[in-house]
Amino acid sequence: MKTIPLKRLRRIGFLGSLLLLAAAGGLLVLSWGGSEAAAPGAALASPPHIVVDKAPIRGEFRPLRLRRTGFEYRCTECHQSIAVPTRRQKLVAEHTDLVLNHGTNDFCLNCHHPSNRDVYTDHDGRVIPAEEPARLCGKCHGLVYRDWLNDAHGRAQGGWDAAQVQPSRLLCIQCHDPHNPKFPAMPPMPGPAVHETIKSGETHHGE
Amino acid sequence: MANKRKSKQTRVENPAEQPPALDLAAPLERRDFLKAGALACLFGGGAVTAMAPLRHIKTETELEDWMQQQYERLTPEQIEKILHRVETQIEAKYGVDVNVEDPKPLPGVQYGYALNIGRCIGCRRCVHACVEENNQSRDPAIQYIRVLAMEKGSLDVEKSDHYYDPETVPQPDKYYMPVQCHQCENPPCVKACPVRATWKEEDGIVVVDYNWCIGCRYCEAACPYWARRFNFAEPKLAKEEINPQMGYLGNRIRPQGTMEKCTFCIQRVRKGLNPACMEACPTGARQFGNLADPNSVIRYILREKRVYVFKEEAGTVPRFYYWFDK
Repeated sequence: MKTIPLKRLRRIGFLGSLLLLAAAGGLLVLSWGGSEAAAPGAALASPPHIVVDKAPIRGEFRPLRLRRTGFEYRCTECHQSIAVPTRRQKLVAEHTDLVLNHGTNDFCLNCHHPSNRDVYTDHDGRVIPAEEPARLCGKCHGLVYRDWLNDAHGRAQGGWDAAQVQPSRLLCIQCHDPHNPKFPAMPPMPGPAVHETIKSGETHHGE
Repeated sequence: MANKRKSKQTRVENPAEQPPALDLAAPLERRDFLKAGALACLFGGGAVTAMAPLRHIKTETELEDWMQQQYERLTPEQIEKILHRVETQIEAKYGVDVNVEDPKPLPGVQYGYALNIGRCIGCRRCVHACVEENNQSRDPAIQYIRVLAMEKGSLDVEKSDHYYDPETVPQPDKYYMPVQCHQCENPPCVKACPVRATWKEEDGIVVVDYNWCIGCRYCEAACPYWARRFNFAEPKLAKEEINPQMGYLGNRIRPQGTMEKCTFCIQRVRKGLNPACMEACPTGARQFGNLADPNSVIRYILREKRVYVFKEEAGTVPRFYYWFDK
């Protein structure tokens, strides 16, 4: 048998251990980033894309007009030639589409000015401009009007910090139909995912 | 084996008789060799195990992620670099150009939120506006706001239901109480965190460092309002669902295995905007503002209205107030 010098054997042992270390290192490198799921943004059997409509429910503020078949008429166009009624009258020809559901306020001329239909009326017959419907509503809804003036009633627009983003107010009639002011019911958007045990009526209390 | 031992003993017993022959030296060296090999295996294997998290790291940016310090210890220059890195990571992963910012607390501002339960109709517009704004995972779906349908005449949340799904809301026998993070003055979630991955900012918002969070979910258990959510899976969002205006402590897309929560839309409110839930509320039940400013809407409500906080007895001192006036 051929003999190997001691020194050389030591060196082989040393090199061998290095080799094993390298093998261990190789294991690390080989398994580097082994299995990884595909990009989560890519091709996804996704739940429906839900978009929230942030516009006020009655849209932009529109001036006081009669709208018929695409045309707009100022109220006085007809009413200047119609005498101011002295008692309650049933609507027969025009405005029959209106449903007045405003509690005890059931008379047109409580709000609309008797002699100038392009504006609203105050308690004492003074004019409230059509551009300031909040003042009209404030005739009766004083507490809500006060909250509105302090931004505590009505949905928020703009920012909380006037120094950075100018806040703005919505007008009453952008959310409330003045003839039927109760806020309408609407379908709810989807709730949290329902767990199977909840569907089947079980609870973890075993009730 | 026995032979080897025998030859070793022979060598020890009769050293003089043995010339320094290499056929005897060989087994000895062989043992040393094996020993060294075994040690190398041991340490090599140990090193591999210790560095196991590195196995999932494929890019240099992921390595930087792994080495990153806790947010409060970062210098502005480091944050600048990190924001850029987070942008490239999200862009690579989701294929969308995003802008990640880190707006700082505004001086003299303490955020507060008020919700009028007399106005809320339970339509859940806030829930989904929040999801849109804050880039929550759509599958599995994560929602920060939970709207409780409560029995009229009762404040008992045990009898409430947040899965309600009628044709239209409001239901005649219910009122609604949305619950989200209350940004408590005395937040139990912050106390529960073992690594300070969550803390209260100077302006009162409780935030999470998504990179520092270890995902133990202690904070989730500590919160009496169930306001914290956990990313059990990698968040899934379609490209067109991603809101590209992101905040580092706010709505940037979270990594898997981290907690997230409502931050009052920190990326919006620190720029003077209102939270997304408030903007979406069709009834105007939600109000937001600066508690430190006596002329703010929130102070008006606290001054003029009947206000209560949820679970006052828990001692959390929320900054989220409920009120009613009708």
